[in-house]
Amino acid sequence: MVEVRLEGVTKRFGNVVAVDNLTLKIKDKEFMVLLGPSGCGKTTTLRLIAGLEKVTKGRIFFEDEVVDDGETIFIPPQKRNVSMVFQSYALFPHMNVFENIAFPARIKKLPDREVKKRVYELADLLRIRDLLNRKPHELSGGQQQRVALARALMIEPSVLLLDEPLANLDAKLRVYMRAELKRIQREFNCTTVYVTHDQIEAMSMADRIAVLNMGKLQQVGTPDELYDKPSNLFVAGFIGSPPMNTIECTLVGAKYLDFGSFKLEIPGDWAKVLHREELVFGIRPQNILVSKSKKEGAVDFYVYVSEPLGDRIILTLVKDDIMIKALVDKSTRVGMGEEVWVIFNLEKAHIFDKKTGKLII
Amino acid sequence: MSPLRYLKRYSSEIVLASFLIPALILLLVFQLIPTIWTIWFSFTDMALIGKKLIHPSFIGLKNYVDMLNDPIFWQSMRVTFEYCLASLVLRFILGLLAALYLTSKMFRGKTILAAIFLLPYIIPGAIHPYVWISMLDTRYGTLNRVLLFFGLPPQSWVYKRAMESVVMINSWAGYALAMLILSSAITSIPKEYYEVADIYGASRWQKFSKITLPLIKYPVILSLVLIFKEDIDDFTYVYMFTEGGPHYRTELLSLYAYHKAFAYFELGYGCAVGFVIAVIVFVLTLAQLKLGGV
Amino acid sequence: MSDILKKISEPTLRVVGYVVLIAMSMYILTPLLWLLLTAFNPEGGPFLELPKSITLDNFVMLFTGKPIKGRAGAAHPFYMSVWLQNSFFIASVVLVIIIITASMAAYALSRLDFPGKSLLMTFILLIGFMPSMAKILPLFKLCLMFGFIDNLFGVAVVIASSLLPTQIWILKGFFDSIPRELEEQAWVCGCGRFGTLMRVVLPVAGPGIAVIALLSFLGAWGSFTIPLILIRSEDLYPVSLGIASVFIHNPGEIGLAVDYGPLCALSIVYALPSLAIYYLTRKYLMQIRVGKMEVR
Repeated sequence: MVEVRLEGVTKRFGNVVAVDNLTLKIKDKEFMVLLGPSGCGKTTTLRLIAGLEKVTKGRIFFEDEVVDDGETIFIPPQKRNVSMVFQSYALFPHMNVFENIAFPARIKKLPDREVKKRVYELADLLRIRDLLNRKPHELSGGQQQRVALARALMIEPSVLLLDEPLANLDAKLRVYMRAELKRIQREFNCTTVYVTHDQIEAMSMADRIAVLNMGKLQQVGTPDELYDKPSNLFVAGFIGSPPMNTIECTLVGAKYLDFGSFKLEIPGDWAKVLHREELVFGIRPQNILVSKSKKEGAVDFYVYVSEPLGDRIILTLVKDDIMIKALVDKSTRVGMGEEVWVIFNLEKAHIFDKKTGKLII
Repeated sequence: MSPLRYLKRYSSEIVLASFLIPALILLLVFQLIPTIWTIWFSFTDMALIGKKLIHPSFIGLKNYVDMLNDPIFWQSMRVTFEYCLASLVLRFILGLLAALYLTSKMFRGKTILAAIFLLPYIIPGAIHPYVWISMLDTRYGTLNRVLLFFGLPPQSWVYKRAMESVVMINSWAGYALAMLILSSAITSIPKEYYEVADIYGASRWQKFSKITLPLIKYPVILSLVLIFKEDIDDFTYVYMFTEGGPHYRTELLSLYAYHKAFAYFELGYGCAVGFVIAVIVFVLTLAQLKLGGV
Repeated sequence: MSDILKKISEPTLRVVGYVVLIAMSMYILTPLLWLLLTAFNPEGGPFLELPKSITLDNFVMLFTGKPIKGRAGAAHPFYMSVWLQNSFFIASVVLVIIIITASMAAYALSRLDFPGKSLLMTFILLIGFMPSMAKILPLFKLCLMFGFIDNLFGVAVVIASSLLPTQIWILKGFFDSIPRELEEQAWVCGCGRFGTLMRVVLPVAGPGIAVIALLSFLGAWGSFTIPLILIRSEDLYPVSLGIASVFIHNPGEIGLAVDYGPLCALSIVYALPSLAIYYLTRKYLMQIRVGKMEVR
């Protein structure tokens, strides 16, 4: 169980920069999730930690030892004592489940008795004990994934790396395995780096999340930090479901935000921090109050679409050229096309600089 | 990064690259060099024996000029194209027929059929002319017996009809190429197309002409080109069976080149002919790429 | 009118189809039938007839080395069993050479990426597609330098080189279909490069390599032109040249001085490995056969 440090790591494939000057510290025993859209460099980062790719620039540390310094030092994956679960599981087709799981131990030439004991332990833990004699192609997706996981835990790794392991499972199984994975990680206490594009997975499993986009680190923090204080527009729009509403606006004097079709009065202490004029207003659907009766300071929208979720409703509200989504309680009975009055909870709102995308408030 | 560091960092990749070396050596020495030499020799008066083997001199295009002036060369060209054309037609048609039988729903016993159809193709080429002796012999050969049975005049296959004999041997042995290509192309047509056609009441001929044929256009072109490329190069049958035939009647280009190089010992000249064959194939390949984008 | 045509076509088509099929099958099988019959015939000739008596002598002659006269006026007797041995030797050496060199090259080509890779692959393909006459003529002079003339091993090396392009392409395809992640997983589990090759790659690629091996054996077994150029002494002939030597003749005189029975027996024995290999590998052949196109 080690701490993993990336310092100024850059990885280039020809002309394409996959990872751009990434500096990140993954604490010992931490469950760190690398989150981002496809092509953001999260898988590449994982592979750099594993040693399956070599850095172009920068350094990677396991505790105090340099495993890759972009120049002379490179420790191959065999010697890094990491374990990895691929998205495709990479189970050896010519071996049965038992041998697949036992593989890391066989390489280390552990005595047969010990190997057996450990394989049975893991098989029981992951509930695949009765599958030990089968071949991978005879297993279902969920079973294959658990075999891959068992194999990864066979030799206590310094770092456990997982590349979108739940992506190929159906929705129900995914939800179940999320909890299982979190539980197993706690039990084994390994430093874990988990790659996904699904922010719900990230939020529910991570100790900390590192959000990446186009090879660059956008923000790293606990799920709460990312949710409550997104450091830029990208993170704000990526975290949270349904995603945060972002509307462009201009600062008028020190008092108003002009949205074009309506104006919003802002509290005094905001004006002190707002120097630019081109801004983006961000507010989560949960923090929008919708009412059928006009209230003080409310803005009128009309309901474009209503999507009932069972206990709550997602309302798509439109005013002129502005479209936002609000998440309201079932009790708010409004139909499509109706006019409603909207109040924004300014305490939970954010302001971003339009040009840089960075968070101001 | 300095070269030494680079070596150390990428050492495993370098080892992997060295895996290519044995194969490359073999290819370079025994495939590339002969090709280059063929071109080079064609411009010399290199011979297979005597002084000219060690000290050939550069004679420019003389070989080619001699070639163009040699009536036997032109006879050989004529004969080769005759052979290729006739073989092309026969090999393709037989192959198409065989493919149709193998893929049709009308006939059963596909495995046996496939085994029979593939038989001539599988057995080694040196055997082909040999087994055809029994068919082509003038007095007792099976072909002549069949002709007599139908009241047709028997032929002197080996003497008077040498070209026909060789074409027959070639097409008997070689239709399987077209058969394999076409049958796999036909079976890869999704059967939903035919089902739709059935819904609209299409006849068997309509289904064939409007669905099957257009969809196998590219495989057809591919098989035609492959057959032609194979035949241009054909050597074994004429060498074994007719030795160039009565009066060069079956002197294919490849045999002509071989004779010039090994019978007349004019290696340079032979290479010139070999080069001509290569050029023809090259042009063909270009045409194939253009036509089919394969 | 076309309705009537439709109505007639089905059964008539069937009949015509069967007739043509039978004619075709007879055309295909007759020469082979002769081969079969004459091999067991103590007095066979170049004509199709039922043997009056059946004998295994012809086959026995193959392996006891009784001499047979092939050429009209040939001076030396030679042994057909020697021909078989030569072919077997050449084909075996080719098999070994190809397994080693083609596997190594195909693996490297599959896993490595470097500038000029596609150029290299095109080169390999093109050189394989060149007509043989363009590559063979200078072989004599080239092999003189290596001492490969009248040298079965040398012949095997040359044959192997001519088979390499196709075999590399086929094998590379096989290796490509083995996901890289399988090897990466082995590395992460602590397996070194060589260990991964032995424990993971080769077991999975095994069938592909076996197919290549068999196909190379087959290619060398039937090889004709290369031995023709490189082998001068009769006791080194592979079977292909041996059968051909029976023919070198005066046109019209084929069949005069040949003992048909044993030669047919030889041909059958010669054809057996080819048949066996095709039978064993037919599943894989169906996949490879049409190379660049999408096949079932």
